[in-house]
This record gives sequence, structure tokens and C-alpha cells, in this order.
Amino acid sequence: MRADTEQEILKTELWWTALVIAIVTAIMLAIIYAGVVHHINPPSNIETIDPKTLHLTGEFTESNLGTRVEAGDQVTSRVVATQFAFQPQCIVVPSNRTVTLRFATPDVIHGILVTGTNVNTMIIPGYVSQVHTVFTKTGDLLMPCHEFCGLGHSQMWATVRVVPEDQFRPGPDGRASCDAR
Amino acid sequence: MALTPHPDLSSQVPPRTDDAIDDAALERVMREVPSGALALSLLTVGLLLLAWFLMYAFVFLPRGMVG
Amino acid sequence: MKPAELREIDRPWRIWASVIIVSILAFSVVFGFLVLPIVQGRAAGLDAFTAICRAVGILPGSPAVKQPTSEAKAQPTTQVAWSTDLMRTFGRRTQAGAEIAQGCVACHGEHGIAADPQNPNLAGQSAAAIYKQLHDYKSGSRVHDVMTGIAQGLEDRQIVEVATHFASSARRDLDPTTAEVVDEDVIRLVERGDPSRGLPACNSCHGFNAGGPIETPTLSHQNREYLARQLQAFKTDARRNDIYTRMRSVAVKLTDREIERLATFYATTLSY
Repeated sequence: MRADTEQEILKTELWWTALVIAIVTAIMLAIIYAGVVHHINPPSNIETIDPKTLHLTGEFTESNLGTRVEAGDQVTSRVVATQFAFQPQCIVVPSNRTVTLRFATPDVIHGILVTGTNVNTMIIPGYVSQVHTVFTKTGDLLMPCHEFCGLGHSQMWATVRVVPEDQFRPGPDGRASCDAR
Repeated sequence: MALTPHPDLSSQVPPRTDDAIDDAALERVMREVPSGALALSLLTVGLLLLAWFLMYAFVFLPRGMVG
Repeated sequence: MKPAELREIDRPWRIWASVIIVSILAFSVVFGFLVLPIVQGRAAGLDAFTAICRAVGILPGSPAVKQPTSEAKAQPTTQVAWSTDLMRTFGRRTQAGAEIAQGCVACHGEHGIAADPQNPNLAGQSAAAIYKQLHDYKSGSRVHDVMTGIAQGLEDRQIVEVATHFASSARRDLDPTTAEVVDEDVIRLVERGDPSRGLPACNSCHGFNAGGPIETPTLSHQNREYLARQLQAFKTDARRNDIYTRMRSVAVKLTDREIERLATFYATTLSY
């Protein structure tokens, strides 16, 4: 390979462009594969909620937070991120079942990730953040706030307790909590 | 169509007469330079791509569905 | 070579680059907004239209999973909802506020500084904090033998006026010679919290200009007995008007000894 004439340089550049296009195409194909075969989407949910009256609404009222098995055996866990704690601070979910996590905040921008899983989302005042996932590993997973939310940010974390499906026993009202288990 | 050296560039850089390296030596060096640069860039991009695919196949996909 | 000729050389490149970019965009739109949601929605039992609307962001939810619903009724811990309009009313001290404050003298002292340490000092407390507590007494979110009756006799406007009145009163003076010996453990709790217990630092909300929730009260210059009693009430769930268990979740992790020391710290420390 030479670089002493313009044609030679151009040839190299075209060659490199083709390589970069191939790389980008390969990555895009991998992402499309994940979307079609594994149903992996970036969690996006445009659902608004008034942060000023979050505690007065039905869904994110204090007594409705935590895990609940709802119509059609759908497991939904509702969590409020507030300065500087999650409420509830521990949620229990069954393994190998689709779980829906719904988050809202009455104050500032927070964020969560669940260690060892693909769950990762921002929690923005005014919106409900929602992630659907299937937990495969059992045990206590750490769920820290990963978006600086104020002076108490570093002490803000919660626990996701993944239990085997046969040990997940919600009460008669469909609710399951870490204490009651 | 055949390309000629860019007219703007050649007019902007006047030939330097006080240079100790003669043109023939420069030509020889220029023939060898790109293969080294190409090898380096292939290696770095290749490693980056390899790291991405390893993370994707052995960390991201096994962690399962999210959406 | 003239510029026109150079442009002529560039022309096919410009055209092809544009074609490639537009086709990538078109592919992304068709694939991301049509193909993928239809494929995923079918597996989740969604019709194509709903799935596409969800992918585009017109409807809430994921195109791949059924959207949960909730019929839960609100059981609020407080009826107070902070709005900019409400915050704006905590403006100037009024004569009406001073008149209402005359009714508080017996327990909270003539200038908002209580003689009996079981009662809180109100002088220099934040208006939002006083407003929320009075409002909670009125709505029944917080219960007290005396205060519930008093608050129920006040209108919303009067609550704002009396809260503003006390907020602008001078705080209790502290005698620096009686200050307690510096308690390192408590200062660590106040300034840094305890990450292993998930305890945020007291200062992250109660510190000066900390930027926590609006209704957070000032704690320094408060009475020791009152502070300790309230922390115990939060710990034992006897008091539960804190939005989203912000204080209950903290107090339940504190030991009785820590509660005593924290109360002493805030009652005797000049700053914070």
C-alpha cells in the first residue's frame, strides 16, 4: 500500500469507509437481533403524572407501593424515589416471570439500576418510568440511585429480592413484601 | 476520472529549499508509513469491536429481556 | 482546476451520501416504528395499531408487554400539595398573622419560644413546615389532643398568615457556654449519614439551604424533648404524616440512644 499519490490515498480512504460501514452494520444487526428474538427494547414509556400531587393519586399513594400480582397474573412493582430513599426500600419479585417495575418521583430527577441485570432507567418528575424484565438469578440485588439527586444521594439505595417462583407467595390481596415472606 | 493533486493545497505550501531531507528519501518513507498506521488502526478498532461483541454476547444477552 | 469543476467532481459523492443517509433514516423509521412493534406486539397479544402507537410514544407502555393498570384509591399521608401559588403566599408578615399567633402564646411562648420543652419552638421555623403541620392537624393526618382542635378552627388563609408570622420571628438564643461537648458519632450521622444502613445524612435535608423537600423543618434551636419525642413517634409509626415515609424510614433505623444524642445535638448546637 502506498500513499504517494492522491489516487492511492483515496483508495485507502474508501477501503476504510467500507470497513466502518461494515462494523456499524454488524452492530446494528446485533441490536435488531436482540429486538426481534429477545424482545430487548430501550425502556421507553411516555406516561405523565403530576409530581405535586403524586402522593394524592391512587396509584403511587403510599399504601399501593411495592409488589402486587394483578389481573392476568401480571406482577407489578411500584416504587417511589424521593429525596433520599426509595419507598419501599425492599421489593420482592419472583424469578423467571415477567415483572413490571413502575417508578415515579415527587421531587427531583433520580435514576435506578439493578445490579447484574439490564434494568436501568431514569426517574423524571412528571413521568412514570417503566421497565419490564425477567429476573433469572435469585437473591438480594442492590438497586442504587444512579443520578445525583442531592446531598443524600450516596445513601439512597434499595433492595430487589428475587425469590424462586414457588417461594413467591403473595397475600390474598395480591401483595407481596419483603417483611411478610 | 483521474485526480490530480489538489491545486489549493500545493499553492499554499511553498517548497522548502532549506530542508535537509531530499525528495527521494521522503518518497521512500511515504511508501512505508500507511501500512503501519493501518495496522495500528485495524488493531485498535478490532479490539474495541471485539470488546463490544464480548460484552454483548456474554453479558448483555444472558441478562435477559428488558423493555 | 476551477471551483465549478471541483463541484462537478463532488456531485456524485454528495448525491450518494444523501441517498445513503435518507435510506438509513427510512429503514430505521420503518423497522423501529412499524416492523418491530408489530412483531413484538403480536407475541404480547396487542393489535398492530396499539403496538405502533406505543413504539412511537403516543400511548404509554411497551409494545412487547401488556400495560399494567391500577384501580388503587388514594390514602394520602397528607393533603398538602405544594404548588408555586401556595409557596408565593408565604410572603410578608401581616397584622392578621400576629393576631392569630396570640392564640399560640400559652404553649409556644410569647415570641414563639416555648417555655415547656415538650412543645416546639416556632420562632424562625420555616413557613412551609409550619403550614404543612397545621394543615395536617386540620385534615387529621397528624393527631394531637390540643392542636387538632385549634387547627380545625383555622381557615387555610389563616394558617398561611400564622406560619409566615412565626417564620419571620427571631430564633431562640443559645448560650454558647452551655453547649454540649462535641459528639463525634452524632456529627458523623448529621453530616455523612450511614451508607451501610441506608441512612442519609440529616444535613442532606435539614441542613441550611440543603435543597431537600420543601416542608423540611429547621432543627437547630429546637427543644430537645420535643425532637426526641417526634423521632420516637416516627420510629413507632405513631406519627405518619411524612410524605413517602421520609422520616419514618430514617427513624426506624436509629437506636434509642442515637435519638437522644441527635436531639441533644440539635437543641444545643448553634449552627446547622
